[in-house]
Amino acid sequence: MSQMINAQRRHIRYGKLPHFFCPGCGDGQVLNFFLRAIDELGMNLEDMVAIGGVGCTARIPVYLNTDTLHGVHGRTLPWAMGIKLHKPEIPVVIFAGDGDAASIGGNHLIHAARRNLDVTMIVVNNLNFAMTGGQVAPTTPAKFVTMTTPYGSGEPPFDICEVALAAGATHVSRSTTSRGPQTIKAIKKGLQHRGFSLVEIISQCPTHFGRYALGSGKPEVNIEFIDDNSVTIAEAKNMTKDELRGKFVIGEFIDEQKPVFAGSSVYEVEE
Amino acid sequence: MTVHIDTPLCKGCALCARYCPRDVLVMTEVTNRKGFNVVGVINPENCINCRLCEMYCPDLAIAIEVPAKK
Repeated sequence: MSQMINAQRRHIRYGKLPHFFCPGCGDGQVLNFFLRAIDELGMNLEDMVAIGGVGCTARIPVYLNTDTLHGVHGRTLPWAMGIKLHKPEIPVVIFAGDGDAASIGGNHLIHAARRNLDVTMIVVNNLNFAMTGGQVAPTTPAKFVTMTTPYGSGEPPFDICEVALAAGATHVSRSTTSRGPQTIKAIKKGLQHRGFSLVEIISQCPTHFGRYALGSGKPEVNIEFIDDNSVTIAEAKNMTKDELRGKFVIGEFIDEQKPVFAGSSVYEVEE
Repeated sequence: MTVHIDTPLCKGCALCARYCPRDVLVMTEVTNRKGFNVVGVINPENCINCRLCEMYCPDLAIAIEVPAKK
């Protein structure tokens, strides 16, 4: 009898495993969660387009059995807009890291959210620029040591969900890699939503963020750091602004329907 | 319950051992072709088929086989 293999592996491109992620990387977990969400929704990967820019997270579409675009840093949303204007019926999923979504592609994120482009954007936030060696990112929490900030980051971090909310995104949620069932549910809701949906997943980076900022390259130390610093929306309501500094607020922030961007001739501006 | 581990894919991150509630999975000294210490199965009869290891494995290396009911 041959050895039984993981059922999710049937969605992986032939011969692509083992993937290039470091041991204990959250990106591999997000790949696993995404495939589970696809299975539970009964979607067909071959009808979808997955887009990644540059970065660790952007490698996820390379392993998927979808049509894939990969390789222009931060410009995932312009690609998605081109596809959506040509064939609006194709489901488009974007895998972006915090570099792709918040720093290099930050402007595209704001305007895609404002226009309500019908895509699902999965942002895996590992709190630094991991592929290039652990430099400080706009999402790095204040006072944490990274490769380029040996005395601690002197800048306040950037909240991707708040930015998307302010720009008018219609579905925004945040989860962590250590909350598997909740993350699968969040990805499922994001995929089902019509309009711009942003699912942020706080992820561990044991190789760089863990080693520099937390002093340990063990994945479980990273996961405990994220768990200790995450609060739900209900808990956050009773906390002051000072208490919420450096915390990750977990949950679904907004879920509403607005007219979807589908080219100038079809788009109706809401009164 | 049988726990199958695809050792060539395992990178020894020990996340499955962290999440396993019944201590079925432990890290071993055995290394695979890439030089990673792989996870091993002890007491497979303790497995309760919660499938947390399968869900949290970043490398898609674990599969749980449920024996067919008589």
